[in-house]
Amino acid sequence: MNTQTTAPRARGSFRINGLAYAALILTLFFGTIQVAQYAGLWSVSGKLTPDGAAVQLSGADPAEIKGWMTIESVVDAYHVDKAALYARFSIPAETPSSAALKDLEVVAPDFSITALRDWLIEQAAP
Amino acid sequence: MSSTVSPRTPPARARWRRPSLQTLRQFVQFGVVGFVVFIVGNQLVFGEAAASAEAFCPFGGLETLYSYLTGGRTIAHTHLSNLALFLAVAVTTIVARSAFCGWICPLGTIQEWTYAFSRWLQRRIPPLGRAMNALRKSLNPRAARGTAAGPTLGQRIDHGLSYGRYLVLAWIIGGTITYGSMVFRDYDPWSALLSLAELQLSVGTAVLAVSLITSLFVERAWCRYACPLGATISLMGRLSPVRIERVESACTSCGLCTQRCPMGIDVARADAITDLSCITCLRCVNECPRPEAIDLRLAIPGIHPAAAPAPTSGD
Ligand code: SF4
Ligand code: SF4
Repeated sequence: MNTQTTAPRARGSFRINGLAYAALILTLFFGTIQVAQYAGLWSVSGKLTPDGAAVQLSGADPAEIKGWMTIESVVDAYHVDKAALYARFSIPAETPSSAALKDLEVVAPDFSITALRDWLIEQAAP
Repeated sequence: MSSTVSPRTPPARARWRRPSLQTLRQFVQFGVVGFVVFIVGNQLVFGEAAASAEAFCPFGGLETLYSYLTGGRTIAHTHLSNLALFLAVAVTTIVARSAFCGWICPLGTIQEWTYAFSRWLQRRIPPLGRAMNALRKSLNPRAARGTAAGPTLGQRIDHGLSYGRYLVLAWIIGGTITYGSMVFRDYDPWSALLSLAELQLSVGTAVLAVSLITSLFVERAWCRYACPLGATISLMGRLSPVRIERVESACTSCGLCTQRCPMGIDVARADAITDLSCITCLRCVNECPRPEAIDLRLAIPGIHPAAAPAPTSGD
């Protein structure tokens, strides 16, 4: 086989060097991530803001409530009666208020994050 | 393998091209898998205090994109990092086609390694090697093509299943918009891979296991038949000006490119590889014994090589 034969090139296109292509891929992928990080579009935990500060409940919008938050943090932020919350969702009295919301479904079948959000909206209604 | 394949000693230039780029690709893949191992290890050591492993899944970015654009919020279990990763995949794809799949995706890499392990076993267990040869022959797009027999059963099944990933993508997009939650989360093998430290058996873990077991027989089985991210990438990749082109007059039709393609594309019969399954791994380019016959090229998307105006000078 004659390896020196020069075949006609495909028309209307330009050869890309393999190493340049590899460099392009890495630059595009990791460069975009870097730019996103600089622009604040980066957080790897729902518990931290993009600046690295701990997420705090504002008490203004129940949609902000996440499963990792505790009963205590919701009671404090939304100024609701803890006993009323326990009664509404049949949460056993011995459940500590430091329990994460996502763990409540096991001990209180009536409980779900969506139901809690709806209840908080009702409580806030005049 | 197909009878049209005639192994030959590659010329010096091809020998030079082969190891360099594929070694570099494997080096990049190894680095990304190393990062995944780091995330999993971090979860094992620091548990709750470590970053959520799911935060590094680019597909989570696609799932949460609608919610973020319409309501400014990410849906449960996704974070801004998912969006940033999806953005990085999208930018890479629009410029450099499906290079994410061929060079970066850890799930694709692990499937490649699984298949390489299978090839290693086949060399040591002759009956297994013979059975796998028969399967490869049945799946090889060059086998039985152009004859009265038409496509083999293996080719028909392979072709039918290749639409599966678009169905999965449609289900996820429809479900996520309708319910506002990650309908795919429980089945997601990336998530299962990234969350291995939790040591919990889930449907996603089973999907991951089945994908890897299937990859012992068909290279990159998950990528070929079920991956919704691969489906998204292949559709976006149509916008990319990068593609592989084959020069008919320089090609000896030895079929090595087709034989080595992990996605079962009949490279040796195409002028330009615009097949949506191509993952731009460049194995076909590196395997070709005729350096002039096939190359990665920059071209206007949608223009067929034969339809493009002839150049006035060489490139
Ligand atoms: S098809 Fe899916 S699993 Fe395969 S490499 Fe691409 S993104 Fe990864
Ligand atoms: S056509 Fe070439 S670059 Fe595309 S998947 Fe097959 S071997 Fe890889």
